[in-house]
Amino acid sequence: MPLIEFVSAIVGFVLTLMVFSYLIGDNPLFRFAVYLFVGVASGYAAAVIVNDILLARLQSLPLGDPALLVIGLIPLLLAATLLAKLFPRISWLGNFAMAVLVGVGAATAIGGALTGTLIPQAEAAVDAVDPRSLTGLVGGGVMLLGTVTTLAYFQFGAKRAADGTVKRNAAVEALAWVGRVFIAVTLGVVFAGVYTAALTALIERLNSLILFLKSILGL
Amino acid sequence: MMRVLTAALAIASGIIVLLGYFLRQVFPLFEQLRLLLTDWAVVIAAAAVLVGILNLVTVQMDKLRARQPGGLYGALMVFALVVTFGLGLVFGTDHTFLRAAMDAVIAPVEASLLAILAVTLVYASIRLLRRRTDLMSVIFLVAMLLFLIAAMPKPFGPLPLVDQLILDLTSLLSTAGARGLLIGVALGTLLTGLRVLFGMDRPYGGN
Amino acid sequence: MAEIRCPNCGKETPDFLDFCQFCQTPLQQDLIHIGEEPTKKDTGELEQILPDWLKEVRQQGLEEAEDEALRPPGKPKVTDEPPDLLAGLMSQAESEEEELPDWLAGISPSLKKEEPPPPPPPPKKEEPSSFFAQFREAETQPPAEETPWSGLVEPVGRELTDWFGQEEPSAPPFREETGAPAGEDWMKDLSAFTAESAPAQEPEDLSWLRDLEAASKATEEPAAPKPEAAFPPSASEEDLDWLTKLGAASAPAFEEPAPAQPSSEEDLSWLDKLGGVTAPEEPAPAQPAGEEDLSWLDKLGGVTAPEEPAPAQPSAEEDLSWLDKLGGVTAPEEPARAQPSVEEDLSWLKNLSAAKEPPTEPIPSQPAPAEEDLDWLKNLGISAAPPSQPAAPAFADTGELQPKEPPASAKPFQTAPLNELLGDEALRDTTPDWLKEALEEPSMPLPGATSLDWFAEQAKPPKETPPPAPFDQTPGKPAASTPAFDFSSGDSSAQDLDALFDVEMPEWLKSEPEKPETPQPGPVSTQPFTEEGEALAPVELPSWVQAMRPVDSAISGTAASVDMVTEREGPLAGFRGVIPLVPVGSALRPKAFSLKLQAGEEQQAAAALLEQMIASETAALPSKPAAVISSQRALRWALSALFLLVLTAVLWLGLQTMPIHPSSRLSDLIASLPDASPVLLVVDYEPAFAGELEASAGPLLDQLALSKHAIFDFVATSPNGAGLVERLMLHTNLSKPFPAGLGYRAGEQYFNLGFLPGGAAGAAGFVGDPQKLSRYAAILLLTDNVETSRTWIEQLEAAGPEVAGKPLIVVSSAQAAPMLQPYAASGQANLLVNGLYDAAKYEALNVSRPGLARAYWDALGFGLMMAVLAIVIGGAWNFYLRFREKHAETE
Repeated sequence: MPLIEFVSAIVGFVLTLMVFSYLIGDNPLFRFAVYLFVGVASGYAAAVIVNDILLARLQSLPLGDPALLVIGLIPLLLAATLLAKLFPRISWLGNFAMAVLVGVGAATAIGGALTGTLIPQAEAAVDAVDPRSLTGLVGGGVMLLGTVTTLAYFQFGAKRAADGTVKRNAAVEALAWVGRVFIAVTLGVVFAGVYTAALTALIERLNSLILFLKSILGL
Repeated sequence: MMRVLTAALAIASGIIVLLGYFLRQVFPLFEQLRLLLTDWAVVIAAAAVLVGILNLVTVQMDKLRARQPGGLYGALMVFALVVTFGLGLVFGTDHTFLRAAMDAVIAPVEASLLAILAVTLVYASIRLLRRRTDLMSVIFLVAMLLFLIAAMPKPFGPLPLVDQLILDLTSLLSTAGARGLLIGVALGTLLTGLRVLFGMDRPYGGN
Repeated sequence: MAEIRCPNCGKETPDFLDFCQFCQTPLQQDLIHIGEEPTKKDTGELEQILPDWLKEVRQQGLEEAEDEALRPPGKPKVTDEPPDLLAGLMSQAESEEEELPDWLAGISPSLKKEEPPPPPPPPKKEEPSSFFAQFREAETQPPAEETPWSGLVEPVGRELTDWFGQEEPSAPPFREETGAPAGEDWMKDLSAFTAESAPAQEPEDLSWLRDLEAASKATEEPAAPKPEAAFPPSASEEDLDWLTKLGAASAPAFEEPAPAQPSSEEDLSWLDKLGGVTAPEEPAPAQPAGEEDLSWLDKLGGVTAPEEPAPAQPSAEEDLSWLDKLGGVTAPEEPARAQPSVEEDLSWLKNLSAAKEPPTEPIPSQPAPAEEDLDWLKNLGISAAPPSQPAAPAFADTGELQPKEPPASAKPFQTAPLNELLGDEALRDTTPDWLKEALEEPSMPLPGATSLDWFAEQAKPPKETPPPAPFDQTPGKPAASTPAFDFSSGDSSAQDLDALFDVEMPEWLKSEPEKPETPQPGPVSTQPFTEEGEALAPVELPSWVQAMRPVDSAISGTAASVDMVTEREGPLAGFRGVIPLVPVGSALRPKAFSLKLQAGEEQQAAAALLEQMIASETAALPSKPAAVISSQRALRWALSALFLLVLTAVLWLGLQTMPIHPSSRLSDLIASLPDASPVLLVVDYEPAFAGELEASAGPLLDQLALSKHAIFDFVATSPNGAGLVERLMLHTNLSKPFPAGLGYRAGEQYFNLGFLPGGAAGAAGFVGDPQKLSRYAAILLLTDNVETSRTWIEQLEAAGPEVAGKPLIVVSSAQAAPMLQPYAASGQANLLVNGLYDAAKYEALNVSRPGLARAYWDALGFGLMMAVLAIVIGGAWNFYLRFREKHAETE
């Protein structure tokens, strides 16, 4: 095993134990590991951004074509203005770059949500109902019902009743109640998945510790 | 004046991108502009991450300078950041040092933090019925248990019909609910984006 | 810029501020002050919970509104009346008589149901707080159609609170006596009200004023009036003892002349006790003529007057004779100057009622009614302002009150304060027009208004007071601006208002007035009593009210007595200034007014309970000894140890006993891909999920590399992506050299395209070029995040059919798979690999290559079983505990 890999394994082993010490309770070892992780991860990300994005862009500027050079410099200049956000007096300089980022991001999200989720999923919900077979009818019906009722749960339009209380429409209220059942089942399954992922991470960590110990012990 | 300019810039950028989405066949120029603006946005987003990291350093340095509790941990964090960043700048992100940083620190610690969750979630699930005993809590817990029981590896293998029935049932219900949630999220995204494009929301500091 | 005085700190604050700039006290109180017109709100739903008396008031209001609508337009509104602050008390008394205190029950006119209730009060819209509405209910007389007070009463209600704010002493132009409900603190104002002892129909008119003047000139020392004359013999015997029980604000009723009869100087010892006694313990029996005496009540208040006034009923001499003697108790130090005529003196009152006429314009008085109205003044003696001309037979008879020299400080008709107030620009600004006119008018107190001010003079040495202000236009200028009302004692005005709803007997009855004032002589106006109330039937007053009537008022420090309305009906009839008339929001207002709430026993018990709770919060509780190790922490430790030990044992032993059933659906798609085709891999997960994603994507990548020799292009959505790609290639044995691995090398078989920032924008930019993506045979999305994976799926869909047609394989962490299932069901994702569950099946199909899923499978099985058992057992136990707790709580 190369030295760098051995050292990495030892460090990883120790840091894993440090983090696991949190199971006993919060302690300095856990904090040490977490702060170290945040620092390394941030430095790693900064290095990647500077090296792979900004410097790479700067190096790839077409110096021979003024038009393309200007076009290529604009995002870099806008990016540079974002640094002004660190200084309150001139933080307004970064608003232009943020405006471009937000405007493009909003439009991209709109286009993606509309064409990638709303229309296809609505179609899928309807198409799931297959009257030609019982399973298709029941399964598709349940699927459609679940989709509609889940959406109905997030329908918060209501009217004020005669007694002054604000209530949703009775039909919407019933649909919303059914939607809550679907949502509860969905979140239960999601929770099971989260737990499985966490347990898998625990298994992976324990496995790495065991492999390291076995490699140390020569087993 | 500044508010108007930033709002106009955001709205114009968004409209161009939208036109590029939906009129790319009719007006290819909009498609080119959309890609150009998207490329700009990628660079700006990268710079935004960098600004966030710099802000983190500033905060931790202030914390250390003010001798606040936990300042030493902040110093450790800044030291690790500077060292890692310096190594990355000097040797590049593909160097062994950076790879070692990932293998020795980032991946183990982050995975360990997630691993702790395996115990914590069990503990929370046990306490759930102590705190809430309403119908939805019971449905939530039952669905989770049923899914785990049906999907978990068993020494004797999956139960015939039972496991598959439970998985199909829970999958049907959860898929239906997830579809409703996804559509709801998409609707929310649509609405939020439109508010930005209409200038009603100005998260870029235009307010 | 106008300024508002903060009700809390008293500092000036610009009026455009909502909060005091010094103490942040809200300047615009939500409280509806007396005289303010409340905002209309729909409170119909509260109708059911209204008390009976309030319902009655509401009903009466509706009826009166109807009457108002039916009334001829030429007739003035009867609604212009003082605020009905105590409206409903009578009705409440009717419905809850057993709960009424004795003092309230003693208000016979209001509580007795001898006669049907009067017409409903005018609409509340115009009388926000019709103070005397309650008394109209019980009165027998029909409501007055039009009274000279009608124009004055409405502003009274509106400008009520500012009346309290007047700190500058000023003499009231007139006084009116009111039969105030017993126990009301507002009756402190009565200390400033002198007994109004003559009914309006008194034929003798103002002749007594001459005697009054003469009596004031007779001596500077207070002289006891002669008890003979009109006073019955018994009255002289009883002396002034009753006055010791009155306090500053009480006034005996006309029906009880006997107690009000001072006999001699040695009897003046009671003056020491003024204000210290609440109500006479043994009220004198009402005189037979008491009812006749109370006929003047019709004219007071200006609220209602009989449409067809009854013929004048001469009041009995004996009823008012005590007032003559009262006047003889103390002679004003300085009598008022001779006043040319009674008509002129009283003309200002007409202006007050008219509220429009110029203040200086003399108004022709109505002789006959004025004389009738002011007849009772004759009996006031020195307490009433002694005009120079009218003869006072009663005093003349006594002879003791013949004035020798006008007392310097005698000012029975005091007008100077009003005029002085006119000099106050701030006050002038805040004073309504009608009040300004009242201020500018030659003013004089109503007959009897200052009747007993001489008591104050008796109590303290006489002092010279400055001459009246130059604004005084009365012929007989007041000698001083000393007010008859003295509210200098702190926030007495506020207390007065607070006490409006106080059931208990007010404390002021026990307190001695601080600054009793000497009345000043002034012009006598006949206007207030000229047109109304003559036919008002006498009203029975409770004994305690009767006992209070002639008592001098001396709430010190008052400045608020700018305008006072003489009540004309009900038990309050005759009392003046019960409802102070001061503009609301005046800068002179010292404090905000707060209304006391009547707290019942239940409420008081609740308050006591709350106090107990608050007190218990401050008490130190014995700290429960904390367990060294809590059960929760022990449970967490036990779970941690269990999981670590079992999983470590399983992994250490390398158990692979749990069977895996392969699934061919996972590999079919890969098998359909062309050989040696590039595949785009989107690394969309964090290092925390690296272990799971590496195990999940391992068999798929192995199949692609082994069977298809695919070229991998990696793009990461995380800055850690570069490092994750190397880990993935290493841990899936792709980058390991052959034979341990497949020998994939970076830059040859796989390429790391780097970090793609920007989220959705980055994804859109990357997939935006269809030509770039067209070369990929498939797109693999390795994700642990629903949002980012949704973004990628959406952008791939939005990139056009060319890109969307590419096979999309989503290798997901188990935590994101359920939410990504709809995309798989809709066909947007061609294949979804759900964590270890599917990876193990994939590996089983792929001859357990690369083996990570298989290595983790048993540990995953044991871990999930432990978790399920722990959740089921622990959940059941906690559910039982919860059920037991609920059961215990229920029991």
